[in-house]
This record gives sequence, C-alpha cells and structure tokens, in this order.
Amino acid sequence: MSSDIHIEKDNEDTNKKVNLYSSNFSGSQLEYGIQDGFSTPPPKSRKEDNKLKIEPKTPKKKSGKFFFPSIIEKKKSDLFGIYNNNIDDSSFPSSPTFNIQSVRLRKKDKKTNSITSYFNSTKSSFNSNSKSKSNFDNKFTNSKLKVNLKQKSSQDQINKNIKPPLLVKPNLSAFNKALKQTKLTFSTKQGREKSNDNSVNKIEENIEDDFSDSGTSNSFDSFSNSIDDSSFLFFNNTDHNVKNNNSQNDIFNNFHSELESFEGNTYSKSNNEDNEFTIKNNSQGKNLMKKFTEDKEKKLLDKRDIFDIFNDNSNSNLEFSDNLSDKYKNYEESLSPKFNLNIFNNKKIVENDDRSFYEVSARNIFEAELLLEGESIKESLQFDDNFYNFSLNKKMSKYTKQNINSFIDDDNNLYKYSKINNNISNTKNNSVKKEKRKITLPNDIWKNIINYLNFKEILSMSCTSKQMNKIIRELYIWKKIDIYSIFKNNNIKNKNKFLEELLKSVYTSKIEILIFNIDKDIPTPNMISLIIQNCKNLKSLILSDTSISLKHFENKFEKGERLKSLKYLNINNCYNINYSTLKHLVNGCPNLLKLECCNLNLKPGEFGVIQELQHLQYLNISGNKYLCNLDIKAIYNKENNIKYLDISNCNSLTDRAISFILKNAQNLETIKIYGSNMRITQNSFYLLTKLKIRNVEYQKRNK
Amino acid sequence: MVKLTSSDGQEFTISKEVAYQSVLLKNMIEDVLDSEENPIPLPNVSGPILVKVIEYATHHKDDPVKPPVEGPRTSEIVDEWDKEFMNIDQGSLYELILAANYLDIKDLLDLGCKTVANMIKGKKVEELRKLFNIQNDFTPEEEEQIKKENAWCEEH
Repeated sequence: MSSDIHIEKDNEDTNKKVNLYSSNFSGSQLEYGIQDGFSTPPPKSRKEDNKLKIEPKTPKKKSGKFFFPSIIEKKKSDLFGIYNNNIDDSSFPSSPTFNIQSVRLRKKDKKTNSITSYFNSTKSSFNSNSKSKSNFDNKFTNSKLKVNLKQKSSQDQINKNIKPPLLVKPNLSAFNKALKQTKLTFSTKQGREKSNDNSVNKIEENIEDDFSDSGTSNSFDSFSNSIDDSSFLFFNNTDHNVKNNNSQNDIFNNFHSELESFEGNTYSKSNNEDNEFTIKNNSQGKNLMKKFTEDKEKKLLDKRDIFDIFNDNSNSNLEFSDNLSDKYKNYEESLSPKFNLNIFNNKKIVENDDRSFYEVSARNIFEAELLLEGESIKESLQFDDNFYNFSLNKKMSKYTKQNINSFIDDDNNLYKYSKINNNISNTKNNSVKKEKRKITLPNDIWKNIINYLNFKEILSMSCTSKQMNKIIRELYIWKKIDIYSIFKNNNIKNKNKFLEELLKSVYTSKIEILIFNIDKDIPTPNMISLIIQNCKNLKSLILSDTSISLKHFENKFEKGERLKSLKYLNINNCYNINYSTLKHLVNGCPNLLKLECCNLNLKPGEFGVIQELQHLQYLNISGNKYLCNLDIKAIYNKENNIKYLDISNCNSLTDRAISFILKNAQNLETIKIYGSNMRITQNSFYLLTKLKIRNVEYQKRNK
Repeated sequence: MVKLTSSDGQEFTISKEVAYQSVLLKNMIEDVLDSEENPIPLPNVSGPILVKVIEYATHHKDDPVKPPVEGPRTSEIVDEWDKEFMNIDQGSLYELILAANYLDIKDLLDLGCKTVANMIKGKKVEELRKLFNIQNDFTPEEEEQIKKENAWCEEH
C-alpha cells in the first residue's frame, strides 16, 4: 500500500491551504476525486505519509464559501460540540467546514462491477481548527480508495503543482445506518406525505425496474453498500436553492437515473397499499439488500425533523421528546413508509452531459454518525424517549470522539470498511450496555438537586464538567444573594472573608439582588467597594439596618465608578448616613427608580439632594422627623417622575408642603401620609383627594 | 379505579386517590372520561419504576397538603419511611426521579433530588465525577482555571 500525499502549503498567515494527494491504493474499486483546502496542514497525515511535499507555492485562492447543510448550519454549535470537545464555544465560528461540491458517480466497468465516483470539487473549503481537521484528514487518508486530486479548471492533472483533487471516501456505511435513525424524524403531516405520493410511487417503480433486469453483482462487497447509500448522499450545495415541490420530482428522477447506472440487485414492489416494497437480492448483494430492506421503512428523511433533533436543547426536553414520541407513535400506526427525501429540498442535483454530477457534503456523513449514535441511545433506553433526547448531545460527543480516534488509530492508513462497520456495531453494543446503567439527568433536575446544596458543594459540582459548570452558572442562587439565608444554610466561620471572596468570584456579574440586613457590621467598606467594582448587573441593593456610612462609598464613588444598573436602593434605618453619604449615593446610583430612606438621621434641608435622581419613581422618605417643607420643595423643584411618595411620620411637614406637592407633582399617583403627630391637616387631605392623584392614604384623626 | 400501562406493557390498576398524587395523571383522568376502561399509557415509565411510584403514592395518599417551604431548603429527609423507600441503586433512583418529573409528583421529585443532594455532600470533585459518571471534558488548563474560580469557598 503506497500513498502519495501531496501538500501544497500556502504560507500566508491567515489562510493556509493544503492539498492532499493520495493515490495508488490497491484493491480499490472506487476513484474519488476531491479537492480540498485546509486552514492548517494536517499534522497526522504529515507524519504518516512518506512522500510529503510542502510547496510554498500559493495556489490561486478561491473565495472559500463555507458550506454547511442547512440542517447543520442551524445548529452548528451542537454539532461542533462533538468535534471540539476540548474547545470552547468561542471557537465555533472557526469550526470545520467541509465542502465537497460535486460528486460524480458513474459506473466505470460493468464487468468488474467497479464503480468510479468522482468527487469533482469546483471549490471547496476546509476551514477548521487543527484538531478536527486532522480527524477529517485521517479519515481521508485512511480510505482505501484511489485518490485523485485534480483541479476542476486544471488542464494538466499530471503536474502536481496544480491543485489536484483530493480523494475522499466518505463513511457511507455510517450514513446508511443513520438512515435507520430517520424513523425518528419522519414527518407526520399527512398533507406532506400526500404531496409526495406521486413521486414516491414513481421512484418505487423506478427502483423496481432498475433492479429487476439487473445482472449479478460479482463483487458487491461493502462498497455496494456505499454506492447504494450514496444515492442518498447526493446533497447539493446551498448555492442552489430550489423550491421544494418542484425539485422533488427532479430529485427522484435523478435518483432513478442514478440507480439505472447501478447494477446489482432485484427489487420487487410489494402490492400492499402502503407502498412498501421489498428487495429480492441475489446472493452477492444479500447483505446490502437486506440492509436496504431494513432501512426502507426508515428512510423518511424530513429535513425539519432532523433539524429538530439537532435543535434539541435542555430547556425544551420534555416538549420535544413528547413531539418525538407522538410522531413515532403515529408512524407506527400508519405503517406507511415513504421515501420522504425532503432533505434534498433545498438542494439541486446538477446534470452534466450524460453524467450526473452530485454534490455531497461530508458533513452529512458525520451528521449521520451522530444520528447513528442517537439510535443506539434510543435502543438502550427504549422505555423513554425523554432520555434519548437529553442524552443525545452528550453521548454524541463521546461517541464521535471515540470513533474518530479509532479512525486515526488505523496505522495502516487503510480505510477498512468492514472494520468501520464492526467498529460501529461495537460502539453500538457498548453504548447499549453502558446506557442500561448510566442514565443522565436533565439540567432542570440537576438545578433542583443543586438547590439543596450549600456553596461549597455547589462549587465542587461546578468543577466536574463543562455542562455542570454551565448549569451552575445559570442558577438562580447567584442572582439573589441574601446573606441571611446564606449564613443559615452554610456553615461559615469567617463571614466577612466568605462574602469578600464571593464578591470577588466569577459569579458576581450574575448578582442582581443583594440583601444585607442582618448584621450591622456587614457589609464592610471593602465589600461595598467590591460590589461597586464587580456587580455590573446589580439591580437591587438592600442595606437597611446596617451601619453603612461615608467611608463605605467614598472610595469608589469618588473615583467616578458608578452603580449604573442599580434600580432599587434601600437604606432604611441606616443611622450613620449623613448628608455627604446621601450625596455620594445619589451621584453613584444615577439610574435609581426606587429609593427607600426611612428613619435617617439627616438634618432639615439635606434631603433636597434627592432631586438629582432624575428617573426616580418611587420615593419613601417616611419617618424622617426633620424632613421639612424646604426639602419637599427642593425635591419637587425639578421636573420629576415620582409616582409614589410616602411622607408618613414626617412630623415637620405642614400643609404648605402638601400645597407645593399639589402644584408640582405632575406624575404622582399614590401618596401616603400616615402618622399620629403629623402637622398636616384634614384640609390638605381633602385637597389631595380632589385631584388626579389616584391613591391618597392617610390616617383620619379626630380634631 | 384507573388503569396504567408502563413502557414495557405491564398494566397496573390503582385507585383514583393514588393516581391523583400525580398532576399528570390527574389532568389525564379529568380530561378522559372513560379512564377506567382504557389504560393510560405511560411510555416514559418502566414497570419496576412504576411499581415504586405507586408504592410512594399509596403511602402518601393521605398526607395533608404541605404548605410551600419558605426560605432555605434543607436536603435532610425527615420521614423514616421515605429514607427507606429511597434506599435503592443509583440507576433506579435516576429513573424514579425522571418518572416523578414526568408524572409531576412534586413530593417524590423533591425526595429524589434530596437523595441525590445527600449523595453529593462531602464529596470531592473526583469522587463526584465517579459517582455520577460525569466525564471530565475540561482541558488541564481549563480545569485549573475552573478550580481557581471555584476555590473561594474552600477555606471557610
């Protein structure tokens, strides 16, 4: 076995292209040609391949259009999680895109039954990070196919300086198996099926014709599988967007013509009304056809439904799985298998002369493997579609990792089809065994469980895996930090140290509500500094009954830092707050909507600074004995949005304050004036009730 | 009486009182008039697990409605019967939790979650991974970083 790898390397920093040339695989009956570009050179193949030329020549760059099948496009991140297990989400934009633009499949030699398939790639891009790329790469070099690399526009294929096409042997078997999985994805829409009926019948007849007059297949090994399956693999590029219905017949016609050129086995259509057809196969093609028969009910590809599988996310587990099981049920009941090749809908098959050119995306093959794994999960968890759903993503990543590794481990650089088949079935069996005892809990239940833990346990859990880390970061516990419940739930010796560490941790940006109301000495000035510095999403800050004073705030606020997100501040009963503290707070929290500052120890005239809060809607200044008319006048001096005002127990206020409020409070909706020693008289109350103010609450007193 | 069919085809007949512990079944029974004739299929619950669920629901059918617990929640399981009931292997525990989630039996779900929470208590990261079969998908650098980020509670 000899193989030539020819690599052209573009030394430009940003866009390295490598063309891989591999040839002279013995025993191969297929020739695939594909041209590919890689973002970085594949390290693995470089090591393994003897003849490796790296040439600095820069091939003419083509605008690499990254291609994903639309299914994948929509849920890239899900898929790439599989290939980039160790790579952060942020790397997804540069995850592998692999594009084989056209595949030409034709019968080369009837006598030998060899089938030649050209992957004629007009432009292909392979943009990936090195890890996943090497996976691809090894798959390719492992294939026991004759590799021709040729450039579409190239006239001289011999000249290796010109980009030759790269051979790819896609993992068709995997895709074939995956097609079984599509029973999970069938469409239950009767209308849709009806609309497909004609074409379904047509294709079935076609198939019957195709195979009834076919000769014997001499060397149908697993490759005949692949050819068979490859009929389903001719996805076109997204370059051609075709209207669904019109393209359907075209697709089937093409499918037909494809099968015509393929000799092998006998199909006979069964007469039952469900359009089932069975395949009678001769001995050589037995395995293939058996498989085909098994698959026939399951080849119901509906693009949307496949997308659904990949669209699975933890939040919609239940809903989705219910849909899935419903569909499954319907499917079982109806027992009306259809070729529902809607997956082709947005893709157009290109005819070129007498040969059919198809475009295939190798991504589909990987997708197929994922589906395959999905099926094994399902099998192992027959009693619950639910499990299938939420464990799919997780399992997929594991499976793919293993499987790709097994490809890489193939030292002979051979793509052994049977080996792959074994590999798949082994993986399947293993996963069945494993899944029997290993069931994953959905995220919602983990959240429920984690709610019973204390901080230390939660933090330990968050170190276990990425998924768990993500779950924990999204927990509600970070949004609302109430030190009362924290200290009650957690055995914390050094409270101050704990809170300071908490306010330094990565979770501070999650905090929206902070409640310090049990200990006079908490928060410390250091904590307040940390809050101002780190809590960028803090919405509510409750500091009532604490001994906060100027020293807590001056440090940060004087440097210009602000609690911009803060909407609600409660400083009730904070006796150490003086005028300059309040001034700092007003300046430091410019977007306050709600301020509660009852029972402060402020002197007359010092509340006027509240007027600086332009957005204030809710103001509770009750219980401030020294709040005087001047303060009210100052607060209402500017235009304001105050809708709620509580001036209960402000014993210094008189009727003049009320009359001022009446004049200037355009937006006031509710005013509360309670208190036993108030100097405000019934006359004012009467006036207030006469006005637009909707709620006037006051205590009636005897004269 | 209400008939239920588990995912593996076993049929169970339980009283409505027991079935009403499950919000899902309650809704189903109220929606479907002839539920006594037609068994309700529960494709997400296997037979052995459904036996456990029915055992739980039967034992707790006379419980007064608990007021919602205010404030912090504790994972301590007070009821001795519950403790004994939850003395099952981890796979069954998971299935029981999922069944409780599916059938919407809040008390059983909480009980299961408390049991799992109690399993977590006092364990180190590696032990947790082993216990719950969590695959460590961090790179060494990431793990270092994550451990750093989450170490702030260790000393207190």
